[in-house]
Amino acid sequence: MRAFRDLPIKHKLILIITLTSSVAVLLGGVGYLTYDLFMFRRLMVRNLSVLAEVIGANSTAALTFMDPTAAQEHLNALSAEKQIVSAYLYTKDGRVFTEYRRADMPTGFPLSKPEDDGYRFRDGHLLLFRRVVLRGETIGTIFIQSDMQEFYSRLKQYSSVGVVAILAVSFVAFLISSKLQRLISEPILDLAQTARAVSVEKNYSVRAVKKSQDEIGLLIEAFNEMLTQIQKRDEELMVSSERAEAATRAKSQFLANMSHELRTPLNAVLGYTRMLLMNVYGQVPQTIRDVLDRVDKSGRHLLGLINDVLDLSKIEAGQLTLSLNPYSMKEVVQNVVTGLQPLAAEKKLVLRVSFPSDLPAAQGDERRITQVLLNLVGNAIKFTDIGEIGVQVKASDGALVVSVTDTGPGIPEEDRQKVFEEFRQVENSATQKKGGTGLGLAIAKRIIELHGGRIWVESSTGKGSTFCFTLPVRAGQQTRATI
Amino acid sequence: MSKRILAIEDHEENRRLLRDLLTSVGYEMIEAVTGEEGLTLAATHAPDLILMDIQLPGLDGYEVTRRLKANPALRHIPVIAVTSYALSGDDVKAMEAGCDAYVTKPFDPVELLAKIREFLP
Repeated sequence: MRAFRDLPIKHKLILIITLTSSVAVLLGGVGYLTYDLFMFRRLMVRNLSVLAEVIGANSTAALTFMDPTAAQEHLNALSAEKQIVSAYLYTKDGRVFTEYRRADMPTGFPLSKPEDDGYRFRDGHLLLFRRVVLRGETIGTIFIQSDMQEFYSRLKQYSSVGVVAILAVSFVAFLISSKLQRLISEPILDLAQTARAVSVEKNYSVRAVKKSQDEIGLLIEAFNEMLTQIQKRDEELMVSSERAEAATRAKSQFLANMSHELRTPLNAVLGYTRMLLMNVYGQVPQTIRDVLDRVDKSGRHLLGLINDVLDLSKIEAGQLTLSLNPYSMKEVVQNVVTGLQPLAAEKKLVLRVSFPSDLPAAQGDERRITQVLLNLVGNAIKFTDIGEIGVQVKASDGALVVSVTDTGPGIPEEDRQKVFEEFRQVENSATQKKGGTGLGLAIAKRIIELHGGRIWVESSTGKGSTFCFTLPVRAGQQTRATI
Repeated sequence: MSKRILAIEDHEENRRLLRDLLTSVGYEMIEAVTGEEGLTLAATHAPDLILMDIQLPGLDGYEVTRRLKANPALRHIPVIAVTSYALSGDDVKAMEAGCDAYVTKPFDPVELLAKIREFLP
């Protein structure tokens, strides 16, 4: 049954129609055969009865006058009937008067006694008794035994005709159903084909062709209606996502322009401050120098914020492209550590670095990777008051894995994902006093993702944090970082 | 004779800043507000070095540099690009356009002077 269920519809239809027709012919044939054979048996009985009566009537004189020779003659006339196997004529008191036997039959028929009028079928033979009556008085009994040869050959003939008929009907039914099944299977196959085309090509503009008004026609109509709805929804989605993207781009463009505009006057502020400190405008007294130092420091902090906003908006506007070149991760780490060493030393923190000896040469945007590492190590120093900072590089599975471990306060679990979201730190008063924009990690995440890598943090509160990122050894430009 | 530096910079405050800085250490500074003006001054005043702002209205710094470097009479003049901040990718483009060096804004006066001295010993 399972095999049938998995057959193609056209084969199912052919099979069902052929099978049904064949079974119908078979049942009809069997019914007809049964009726015909029944009638044939009745005919046999009637014929034999007539025969018995004729012989009986002919034999009345012989029986009356006890003339076996005359009786024998009458019985011998049965030799004209090939199916008669044997016949007996009994006298009134039940003795065998004369007997007839077909030439091929052995002698000594086991029947001993005459019976009342009647017949029975036994061992493939028809046995018939008939009393011989003269003027209302029984004067003997005639017994005739006939074989069923004719009956069996008729049965055989019918069976062969039946088999041939069923085969012929099956064949014709097969031919007709092979043609006619298309009426049903073709529209379904067309529909299936269209559905497949839609799902493979993601083309929702195709339509199935409706050819009939039946259930299949309705199915095709409903299918087409569904396609129309999907198409409409797709278009709506596209329009709204385009609108959203345009809005995001506009926002990012605005931020980019804005931060550029903010930087220009700030450049002047910082430039003049530096020049004042350089005594370009004459000797500056120490008290004023201290104030100028503060102006310079605050100005730089402001610049850092603006730069980060610019970075982020550029990344989000899709304007940031990586310049991919060969680089050495070892050099990147060493440059970062050398640059931040004084900061660590100021807080009496130990900076440890570890590499495997066989670090592969990698490809990526060296300057931006440096920016990420500067941010991570800078953060680690910023948030750690005692202990050490470890930078570890490993190569595994076509990727470089860099981890920065500190012995700082750690990050509560609920905040671990949030640290990579923009402006998170700014919202958090506990870390605000540490300075920084809160954008560094968000930018780092995007830079790593642009490289096709991943960044995450492991931490246990009170013991410290480990920031890890992976970079494919041969990074390719990713079209867009997740925002 | 003091060395002559041409500053092509559209922002007035930045021009003044450069002027104060450069004259304080004894350079002569001539100023252009647009790229076109810069090209003219470079041809007429024979500066020893050019400080090129990248973001200029009209012809931008890359284009001005390309034109300077395409001119056989002017291509020997060193051009220091003043690019906006690093992540923009301006520095790479500046070097590709033919600039001899770059400093990023906001420049540290000490750094800028050091860079200039590399070309004007």
